[in-house]
Amino acid sequence: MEAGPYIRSTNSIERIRVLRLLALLPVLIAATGNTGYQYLLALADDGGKGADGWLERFLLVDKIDFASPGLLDVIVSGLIHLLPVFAMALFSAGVWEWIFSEKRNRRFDVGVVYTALLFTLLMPPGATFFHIAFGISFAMVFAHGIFGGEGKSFLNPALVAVAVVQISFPSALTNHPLWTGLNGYAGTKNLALYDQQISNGTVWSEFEWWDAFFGTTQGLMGTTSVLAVLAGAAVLIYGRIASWRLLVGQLFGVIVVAAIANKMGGGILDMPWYWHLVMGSFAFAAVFIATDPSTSSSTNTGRWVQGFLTGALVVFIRVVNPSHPDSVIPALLLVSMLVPLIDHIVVWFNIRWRDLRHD
Amino acid sequence: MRVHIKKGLNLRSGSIPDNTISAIKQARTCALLGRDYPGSRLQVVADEGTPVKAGEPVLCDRRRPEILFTSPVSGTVTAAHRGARRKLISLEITSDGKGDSIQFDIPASLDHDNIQRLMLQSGLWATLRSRPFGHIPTPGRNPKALLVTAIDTQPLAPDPAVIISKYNNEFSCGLKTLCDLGIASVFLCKSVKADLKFDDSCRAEVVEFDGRHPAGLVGTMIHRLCPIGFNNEEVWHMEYQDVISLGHMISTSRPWFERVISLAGPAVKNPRLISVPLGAGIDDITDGELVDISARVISGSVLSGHTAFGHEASLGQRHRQVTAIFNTDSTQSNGSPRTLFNAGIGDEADALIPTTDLDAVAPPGILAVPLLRALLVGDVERARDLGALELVEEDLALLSYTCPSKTDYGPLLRDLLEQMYKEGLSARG
Repeated sequence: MEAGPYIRSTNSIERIRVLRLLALLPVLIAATGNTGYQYLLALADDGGKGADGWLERFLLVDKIDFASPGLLDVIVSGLIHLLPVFAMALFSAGVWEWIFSEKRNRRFDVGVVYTALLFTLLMPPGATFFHIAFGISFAMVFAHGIFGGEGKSFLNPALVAVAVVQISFPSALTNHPLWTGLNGYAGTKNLALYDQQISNGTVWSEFEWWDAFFGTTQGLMGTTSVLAVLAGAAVLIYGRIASWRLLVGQLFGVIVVAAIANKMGGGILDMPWYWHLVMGSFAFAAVFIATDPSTSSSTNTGRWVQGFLTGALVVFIRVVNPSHPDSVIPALLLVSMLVPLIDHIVVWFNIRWRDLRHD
Repeated sequence: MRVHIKKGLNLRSGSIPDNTISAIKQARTCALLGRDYPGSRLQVVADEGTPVKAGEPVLCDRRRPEILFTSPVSGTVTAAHRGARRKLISLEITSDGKGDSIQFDIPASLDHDNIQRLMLQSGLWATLRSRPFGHIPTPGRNPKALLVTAIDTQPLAPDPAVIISKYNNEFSCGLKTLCDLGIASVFLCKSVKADLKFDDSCRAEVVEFDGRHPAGLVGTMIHRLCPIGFNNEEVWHMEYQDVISLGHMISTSRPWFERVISLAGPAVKNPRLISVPLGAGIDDITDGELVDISARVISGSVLSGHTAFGHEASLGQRHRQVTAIFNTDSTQSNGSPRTLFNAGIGDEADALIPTTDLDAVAPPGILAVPLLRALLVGDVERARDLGALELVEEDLALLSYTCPSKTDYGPLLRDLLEQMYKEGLSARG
């Protein structure tokens, strides 16, 4: 017996994959531009002395005009940092996905491109190949492959990969010199977040808020430009892949906990909520990782709760725990692990409500 | 009372049928289909070759022999097609074109017992359905409520108001009779836009539904009006054209053996409403109506209809539309578009990705993803607790339509419902 529906919506995993890549496009452009720009700034500041990495020697050292760079210089300098990281991530992820698809006799999951891309954008320009291969391998096995692939794991593989690198090599992501991609360069103009030495609110005034919003600051490659992230968010929400409830929930969480911290006052506690939004990798992770439909809450109530918890936890860890200055990755990881519990509670309330309406 | 449904989705597929009802289109063969009666084991009463009049019983329910299924035309029973485990697929009746029908004695006083007996004899009882499970209700049970559904939000469905206004008196009479069936509360569910004219002296409470597609489904109405608990509660429902048939029988002593359906869809030349005999053969209905002879013809809507093919090529008992769509080879058997990445591996189901559009088209009050997950893993108790007792296949059609995994949730739900029925899980210990 054949029964309906005889027509299907155009919604499919392929469509979700394409839209997610499309949403990452503005971030990729911003990442390329800003990574190149920061690298050239550092190079100019350093007088070209630091350009002794193998990449620089191989490709650029004579050709690049760091004193007065043109657009092409910026793009090329961006790409020489972004592409190797991406290539290594894609290769590692591809190998593991291939092994699993062969051994488990299932189709090769092209979603690994997205995972590799997310991971790349959460890496500093100076990330080393060993870190990348290690993080991706761990994540592709324990947060992807053993669960059966896309949509079946309860943790986002890119998130796990970054978390593993951060935990295993604490200096790999927060070490300042890595941030410009210029080997050994220490003259970083840092966001206050990573200094933890804020007094009377002056340190972050070194930057304008708009600098952080447009993304002309140093940081992990894809996470500096909040504007590009917002463009991506628009694509994801319009394509009904990300839940707007999750995003608004995170905003609430940040505002509420930042307001409480501001009341207590002192040091980094003084940082207002609108600075929290544009600093570190929060905006990027909030839009691209927290809203991953297969690892986020599957009920609308749960999405509000998960969003609020994520935003609240990010600010909370930032202001009370100096060893996690960015705090986005640990916060997301914690909330991701809580998501099944959140859903469980929402389901419990739904069942209870069904029972009660008959009495 | 007015109920507004915020969620849902109205699909557009082909042009809206014209609202004038064309004259009856006769059918050479009619059939009663086994798939229209889940939960009933059908036993053939009139064997092949038996001449029957319209209204004469041809089938009964083996476990509840008082429930009869009657022939919609006069003619000869020509074939009883059986499938696996000798389950009846269809009983085919070839019409002789005379239109003889049985006359039923209408008692002077229509009390509860008389109405029930009359409905059972005339086969009209078999048009009633009960939730949970969507089976034909057992006579003598006392349901919590009876819903008369005079709203249809399926894509390209006929407008009930047009049909009810044509058969005004019969509808009023049928509704009045149902009110006398002794059921605690009777609801008449209609669309906000529909201006129904009927004798409103009966005690049926009129409820207006407003909103997009699931607004017209029984699952939605039950959720808003009379939720089903775990105490073996039942809600019965009957559809407006069957009510017209009942009224017709009370006033003329023979049931109405026609149904007004919409013939529509992209592959139909002239989408319109037509009268056809109950269970009419699809070939007779679509004769000369299709743009493309190889079009796929569906009894019912594109969302929750059935393919009319082979031994089942007849209008379903509860279907009020025939939809014809173009057959395309651009989709795989599971309905997902063929692309570079999945070519040839179409049998493997994708994972359920809980995007937000699932919640947007879920039946009201249902947590879509937890319920679908319970269905996928066959967790009967979780599905029951999450409200599966209020649903049948048609309520999940929009979810199957939307879900990126292209899973059909209707058959999964049916399996679980039958399991719950067998294990007596509608009551909690």
